[in-house]
Amino acid sequence: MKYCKNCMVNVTQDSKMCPLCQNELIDKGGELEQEYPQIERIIKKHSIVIKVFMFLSFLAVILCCAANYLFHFDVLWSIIVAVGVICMWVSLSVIFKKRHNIPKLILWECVLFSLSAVILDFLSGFRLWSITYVMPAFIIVSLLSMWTVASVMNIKLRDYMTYMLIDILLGIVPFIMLCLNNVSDPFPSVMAVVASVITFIAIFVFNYKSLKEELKKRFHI
Amino acid sequence: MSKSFSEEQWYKLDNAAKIFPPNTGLRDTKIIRFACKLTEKVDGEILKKAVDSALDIFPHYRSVLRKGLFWYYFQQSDIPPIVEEENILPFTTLYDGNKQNLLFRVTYFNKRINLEVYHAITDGAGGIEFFKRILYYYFKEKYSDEIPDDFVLTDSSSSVSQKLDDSYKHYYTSDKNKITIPESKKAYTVKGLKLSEYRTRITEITMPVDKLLSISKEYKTTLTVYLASLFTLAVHKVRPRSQNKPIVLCIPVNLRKYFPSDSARNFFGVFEVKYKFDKNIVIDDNELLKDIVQSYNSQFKEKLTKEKLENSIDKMLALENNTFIKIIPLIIKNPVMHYFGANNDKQMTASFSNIGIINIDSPMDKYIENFIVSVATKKLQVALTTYNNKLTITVTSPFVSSDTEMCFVRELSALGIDVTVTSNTIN
Repeated sequence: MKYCKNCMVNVTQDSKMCPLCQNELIDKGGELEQEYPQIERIIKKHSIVIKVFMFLSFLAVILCCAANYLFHFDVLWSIIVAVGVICMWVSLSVIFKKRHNIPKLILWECVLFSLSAVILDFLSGFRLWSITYVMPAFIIVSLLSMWTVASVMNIKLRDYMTYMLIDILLGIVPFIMLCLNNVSDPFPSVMAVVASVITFIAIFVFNYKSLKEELKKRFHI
Repeated sequence: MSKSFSEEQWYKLDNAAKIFPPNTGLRDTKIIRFACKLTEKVDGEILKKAVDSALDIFPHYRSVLRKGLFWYYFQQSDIPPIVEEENILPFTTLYDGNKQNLLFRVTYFNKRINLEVYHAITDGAGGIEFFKRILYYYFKEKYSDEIPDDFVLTDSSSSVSQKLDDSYKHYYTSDKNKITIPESKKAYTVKGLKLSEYRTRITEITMPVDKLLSISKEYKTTLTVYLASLFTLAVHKVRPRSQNKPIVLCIPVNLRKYFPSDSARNFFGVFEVKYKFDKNIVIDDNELLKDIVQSYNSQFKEKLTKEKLENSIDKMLALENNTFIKIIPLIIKNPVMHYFGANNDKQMTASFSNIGIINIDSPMDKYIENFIVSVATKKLQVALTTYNNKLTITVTSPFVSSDTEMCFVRELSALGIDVTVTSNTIN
């Protein structure tokens, strides 16, 4: 036991200074016990590699903007570079944050990539290639990879059903596009709609009970 | 695990729990920490078994928090509980929306067993019951030859479904659904440099309770009121003289004492007491303390009645039972609740919570030296527990300066009480 003359208190821990007034302690003898472990610095700084890459990518964007302004002012190609870079960093941070929940991560990436494809498409003349090819492809790939990841990692259906259902709902976009006759090549959209519908029917037929429970939980008021 | 609590089981958050997720941050992780100091070094393997056995009786600890479209909910889970030697900071985040993990952890270090629980799961009184249950199984296994086989905890008569009861709903009486937004009054809030890495300083102040009890009697008041007054005085002494806002203490109340309930979930209410120091009147600390005690005494008497508490339950539940609020998506509710939470924080100086006396049945009591309860905070937080004539006041603080704690402890030791201090920071 130690003692602080200023605070007139016993101090149980093995420290030189009083935890209250930071003045020197007197040793009273007897056992000193450690009650809490000493934890060193815990928060790691971002690695220097990531910082360098971040700096370089922003540098590239700014240089592109400058070059665009000076040489080819008629086409705004630098914005495409900027969107690409931003999309990459957002996607990386999503991967880092959601790495503990892979099905959710897949859904997020699918939405993110589809969105940035639409933006890029819009910026480059809106020829609808994003909605014709990219989005249907991402929907099919994300549905497939969700199934695969879940069965390989042994994730229970109720833990990823919601992400699956949202992914299925995304299939509405190519469906609407087909109805409006907006796509030049209907093949990818039809495949995406088929994949969504098949997945939904599979869940509905084989896991009707869990589907009902899941919806009840997620929509309770 | 009993059959009725299968993995498919899920349930809604109780009224108090709803406030916690949107207001959980790295600084204020909304964790209550129960620690028990034993007479011997802790055996990790036995502790693991004890936690598993206790979970069968408190199944709602086996749940993860998930988001619905309108509200959060608890989902039963088979994730194994964390029981390990302490190697992280106290109050390290338990609820992280990106991870799926149980909302409590058990750690041990030397002679100590620590239970950290996310506040959405339970309150102080409920957590103690779970902690006692873990200790019971631990001692039963470890000292099997000394503890008779037929020994059971005296307060273990409630059923599992009683423990899962949402008692707020049970005692909600109003059908008026009247929503009242409390008027905002600013209180003095401690400012200053905060510890790095979201660390929290825990200062445990232990002393024999009998002397303090007789002093409180001299002041014709209770221990809680007397200590709250002493603490208020300490905060006042340390704060800059230019600050003249009232000091407001937020006092949680265990509603089980007023409304019979065996719920092991949240069932607490809060009320505030405040004291405004008059700059113009110069009196010595003793007179000042007497005045604070008197003021707090009447505020406690006024606010701590069954009717007032019933009213506050009705007010709290009117909000969540309002149909319009119910159908607002969680994504919008969250920032709104965060705003109100932050606003509420501005209206109080510190939280002052008396967990009460912890009774441990013989022969278990001889293996336990002391209980320490502390609560995560971004302001100041005081928690009191009494065990075996030992009062432990735990002050948690995120601030670098420990002046308030020092001032408070010196007030206590000046009374001639034998005070012992333990802190998690070593100089």
